[in-house]
Amino acid sequence: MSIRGRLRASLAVSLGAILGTAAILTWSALEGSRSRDTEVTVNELQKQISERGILRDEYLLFRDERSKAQWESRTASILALLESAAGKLEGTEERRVAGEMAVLGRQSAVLFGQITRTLAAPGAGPEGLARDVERRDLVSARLLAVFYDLQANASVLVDSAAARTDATDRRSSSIAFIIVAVALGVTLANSVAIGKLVERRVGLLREGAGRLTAGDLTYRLAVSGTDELAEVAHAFDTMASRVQQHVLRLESLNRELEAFSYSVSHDLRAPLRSIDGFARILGEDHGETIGAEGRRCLERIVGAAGSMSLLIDDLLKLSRVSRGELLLEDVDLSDLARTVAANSRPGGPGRTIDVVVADGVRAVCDRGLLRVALEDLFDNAFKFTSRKPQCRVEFGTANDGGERRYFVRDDGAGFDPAYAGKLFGAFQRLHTGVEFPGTGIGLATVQRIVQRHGGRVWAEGRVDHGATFYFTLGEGKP
Amino acid sequence: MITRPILLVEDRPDDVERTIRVSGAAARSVPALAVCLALAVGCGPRRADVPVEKLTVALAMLPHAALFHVAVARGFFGEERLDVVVQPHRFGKTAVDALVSGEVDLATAAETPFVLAALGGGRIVALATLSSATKNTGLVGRKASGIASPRDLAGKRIGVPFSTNAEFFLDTLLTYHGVDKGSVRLVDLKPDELPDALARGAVDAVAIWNPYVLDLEKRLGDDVLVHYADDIYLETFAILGGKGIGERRRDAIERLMRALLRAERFVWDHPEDAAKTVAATLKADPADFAAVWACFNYRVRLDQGLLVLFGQEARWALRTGRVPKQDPPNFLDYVEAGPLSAVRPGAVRLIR
Repeated sequence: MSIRGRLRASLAVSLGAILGTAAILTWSALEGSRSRDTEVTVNELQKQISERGILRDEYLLFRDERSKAQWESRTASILALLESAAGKLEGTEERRVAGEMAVLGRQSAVLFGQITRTLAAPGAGPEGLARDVERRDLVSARLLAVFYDLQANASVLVDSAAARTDATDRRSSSIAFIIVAVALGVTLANSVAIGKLVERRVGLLREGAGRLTAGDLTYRLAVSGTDELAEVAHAFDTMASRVQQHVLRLESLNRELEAFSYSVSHDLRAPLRSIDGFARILGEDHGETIGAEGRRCLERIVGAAGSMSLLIDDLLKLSRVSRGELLLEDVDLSDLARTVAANSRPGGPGRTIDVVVADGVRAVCDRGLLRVALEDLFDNAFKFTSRKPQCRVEFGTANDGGERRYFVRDDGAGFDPAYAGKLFGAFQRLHTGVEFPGTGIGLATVQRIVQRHGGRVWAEGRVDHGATFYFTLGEGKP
Repeated sequence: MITRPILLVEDRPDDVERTIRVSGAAARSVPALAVCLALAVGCGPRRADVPVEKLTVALAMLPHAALFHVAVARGFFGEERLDVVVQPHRFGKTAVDALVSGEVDLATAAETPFVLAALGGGRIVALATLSSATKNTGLVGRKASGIASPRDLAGKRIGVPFSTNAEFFLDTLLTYHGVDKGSVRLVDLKPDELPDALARGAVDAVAIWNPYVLDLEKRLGDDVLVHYADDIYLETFAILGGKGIGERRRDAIERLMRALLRAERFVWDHPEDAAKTVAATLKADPADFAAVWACFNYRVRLDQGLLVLFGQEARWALRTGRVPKQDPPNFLDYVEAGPLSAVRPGAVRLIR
């Protein structure tokens, strides 16, 4: 089931629980109302039976018409209440008790009538009166027993109605509790299941992304399922496959390109040496013959051959740094930078270069490649400070958010920040060869070396305010 | 005193006279339905490791004691780990005599023998009523003797077993209808002697209970009329015990009450089966027994009205000289409601 489907199911269960609970509460309210109505009726019945007992005693004591009339009125009222209660009572036992009470109620009316008639028309003579007393005693005893039975039965109905009300309340509470508990259980179980699924899927995606980033292009998530995150995982696998294909193709192209560059550079060197050599021989052996114009042409040929030789050297260097296995080791970059700066430092009168190298800078890297990168960066710094009689070139490190950055900073000609992106492209130059000579390969070489270490390189600067070239080394992980 | 012991179980030899012992073995044959019913009323069978309690009971072989008969026949006592030894009696008075003499632990009887025994110094108590009826004990009068209504009883010979509720009933009927009791001649006859006495004209009417009333109606047909005192007399039939048994044998009596309440549930839930069971126990024709069965309200109770009735009958006994002159006792002291109240509080409706 999809995550959306699961969430919808949870929502539906929750809504169902709310509606179910509302229905139960409504039903409970109706049932409770009915139960309480029955309770009111049977309580009234019990009250009237008690009152009628008092009226009976009052009549037997004083024999006045008022108490007799009230007794009869109460009897009619009790019988009416019993009839009313009969329609409200639900249990078979309660209805049976009510029926028994109706019989007792009518019986009591007959018995009370017997007493009143005996009192109204007493027997003649002492014997008649004695018979009356005996008869009244008999009937009164039965009336009393009927009264007790009525009261006991009324108590049964009162207790039963109260118990029914309690049972209704308890039942509705229990049902509502069960509904809510089940809904909560289902929702909780669903949430836990969704949480686990998401956690599992995200964990796989995270691992996949990590493996891919680390260069393992063969890694696939291979997730089964139809949920949304499974679809993302499938998309991830598809993307990884395509990336792998592209990378393989690019690697293949790069290898071809590097081989081509190497071949071209290497193969060009021999004819170039011939051009340079023969141009020099021509100038030395036949310089007088070809005249001044001819010699000037020869000088330009030799100069161009030299430039081309430098270009070929740089291209070969670039090609070399792109190939071969990285030999990582703990390298004292401070020491390496000092050595490189000393070797690259240009001489000449009238120029003071202040080289500052931070102490204790170490990194796990390929010493040979870092030497090449630092040579290019220092060459670059010395070159673009060449127009200042006094300059400063600095090598150091900086930390930004836990990332260690190495930099080579100068206070030379700087560059227009708008073109910072072009600095590291091969043959890309922001200055003319006349201003600052160069092949446009050095920074491309630096970038290639840094990338092979898993790092990145970038530059910050402004025209006439110097430039700073930063690079990272992927924390020692190529 | 057991005059004519009779057997209760259906497969016994007819001529054998013996006392029936309801043992735990009978309980094991009780169908699952009875177990379910027991659970429904909250009194399930006792555990097998509970000690068996023995109770001897002088049991009236009458439909009045149907709950007891059902409990015996359905094995409810056995399931309560009670070893109930039954002494069968033809009617309650002899059962009460057996109780008073200490022959038995318990007896079943109507209120009149109980009240008379209590006034006679018997140390007995009522534990619960088992049934009540308004149209059970009746007056069967011969038309040939000119008895069309109770008022016609003046000057007539009336057969009645003395010291039974039939005698009290007859007195009540005569009083209620204003008959001069001095003009009536009462003849003390045993219940079994009454039908023949009426049939041969030795008496003009008899006061007796069922099944005799309905038997006489059937036997004499249009020659007799039956009169009840249903407005003024509610007869009761109770389980009685020796004074103090409710505390002395508390556990046993509570088990007894549980079994009787199970029987009550069974009677109300399965009246036809219960009637057949009792008819078989009493060796009555099931077809005829249905009418007898309908006369009774089978409830295990202790009502305040019972005390009123006891008092009324005590006054009658004193007035008529049935017992030596004395102050009427406090009948609350003759009722032990503890066991029934413990098992079903709602069944005790006495004002304490």
